[in-house]
Amino acid sequence: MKKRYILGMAIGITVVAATLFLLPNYSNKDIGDNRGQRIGPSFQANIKNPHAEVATTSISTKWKDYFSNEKNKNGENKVEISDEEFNISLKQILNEIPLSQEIRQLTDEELHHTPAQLIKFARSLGEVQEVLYQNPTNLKIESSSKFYEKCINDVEAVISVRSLCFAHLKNLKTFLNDSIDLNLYPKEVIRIAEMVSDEN
Amino acid sequence: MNFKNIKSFCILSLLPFFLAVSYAETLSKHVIYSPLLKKEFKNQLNQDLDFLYSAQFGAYLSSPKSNPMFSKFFEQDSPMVTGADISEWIKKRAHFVIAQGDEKFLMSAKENVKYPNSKAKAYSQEWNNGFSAEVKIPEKKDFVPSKKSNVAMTNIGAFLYMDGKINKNLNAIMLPKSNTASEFVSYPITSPRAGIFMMGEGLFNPELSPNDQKVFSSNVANSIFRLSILIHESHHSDGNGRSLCFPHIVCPKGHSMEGRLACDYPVNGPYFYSFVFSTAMKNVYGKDLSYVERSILLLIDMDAASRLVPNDGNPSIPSFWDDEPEMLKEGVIN
Repeated sequence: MKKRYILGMAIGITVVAATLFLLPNYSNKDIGDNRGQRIGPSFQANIKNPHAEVATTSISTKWKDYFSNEKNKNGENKVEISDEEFNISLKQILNEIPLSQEIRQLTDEELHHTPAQLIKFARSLGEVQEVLYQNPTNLKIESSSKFYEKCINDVEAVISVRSLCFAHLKNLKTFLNDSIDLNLYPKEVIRIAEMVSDEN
Repeated sequence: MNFKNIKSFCILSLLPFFLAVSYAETLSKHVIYSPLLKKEFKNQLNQDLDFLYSAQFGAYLSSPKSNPMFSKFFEQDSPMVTGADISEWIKKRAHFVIAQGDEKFLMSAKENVKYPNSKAKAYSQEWNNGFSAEVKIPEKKDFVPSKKSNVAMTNIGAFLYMDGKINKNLNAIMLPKSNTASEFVSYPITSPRAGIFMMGEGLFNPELSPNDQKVFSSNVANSIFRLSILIHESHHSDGNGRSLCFPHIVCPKGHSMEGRLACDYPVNGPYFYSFVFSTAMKNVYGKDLSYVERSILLLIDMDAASRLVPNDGNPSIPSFWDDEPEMLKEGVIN
């Protein structure tokens, strides 16, 4: 009797495997568009291309090389970023901090989800962390702390970006076994940063 | 072999088959894709949906750090929300994913249509933070994103319902009958739950993706990014009368986006939905994120959190909006 059950299961699994193998992938199957001629009014949007307004990163060539190297992404650094190079890059990144005034000029559709300018800045901040924690020299720590402070206190910058800088500064303080004095920073910046704990 | 044995044999033989079929039905066959969509977009979105379906949040839900709104928002039968529950939540709100170009197949199916709650003024119109007398309601042309844009996704079904209601027309759109059939049928938009999403290039734009090297892959950060947008847009399929489509409100003075329709008052608004979902996903699946991926997902969550603004000026607008969808009465179509 036990053998029959095992045989039954084996046949069932074989049938399922064969069926799944033979079934076409419906969701990926391209089908022709047979809707023919237009049947209703065409609603064309007259909205400018926001892509054109996204500036290219102007940070140093060495920095770019660092992140274009696939091995670096995997944590096997071949390119060394000097303290000086790091400092220069931080200044360049800070020059591109997204300002509220600029963001307000975007179209409704660009604003509906996180604008590209903010994501680009967050990417740069992630790269800063990567270089910093790869080789955390005293000078790199000092310059990145100053960088975060300037970002947090830039009242013209977008609030979410300032909160992100606060989160990164807090991470650095934790790395150094240091605490952060919350009284030194704007409450709204802290409130948003605390809503999104990095541990989440 | 007696009858009982034969019965058991048959049941056991077919069990894996039924399990496999129901799984496939749940994940892949529900959403109907426009043939105008790029194949790689469809594949990737299906992969993301599969990832979501298998997600488990047990450890997160039992953690003191979990957001209580997570269960409140996505609960189906039990507060122990699973990825399958969230998939079910999306299934009620998202049915079609269309491409730029499909808007050509929009049409007005009927005029002089009587809509429910037609006299209710949207919350978003009632309270505009002093920027203008009347908040402009988007027109049909605003629903179609520009071709070369950063736009990720738009719930045009919800807004076409709203448009129909304002103009007392019944909008309809020609879409595929299924993912396998070559037949197209006219879908009248009789509810904000029409669930028609227009996908833009932005959803797969490397510049917007947390991992710009692995846009089309099983990269967790990119999946969380795309699924969060899907959650946000899905929630625009909810609401009735004053809360219809959960429209955004004008950001108040002093806000980074002041004067723009880019904020939410209600705690159960689309921005907080995506925020709650994303933080839960990151908690469970974000252990191995790179610095860059983590930084971008943090920024996106902080951006969403910053758009939830306090309702300190108008006590008549509640903190929670009714998410029950309104619907045209049967018989309106004929």
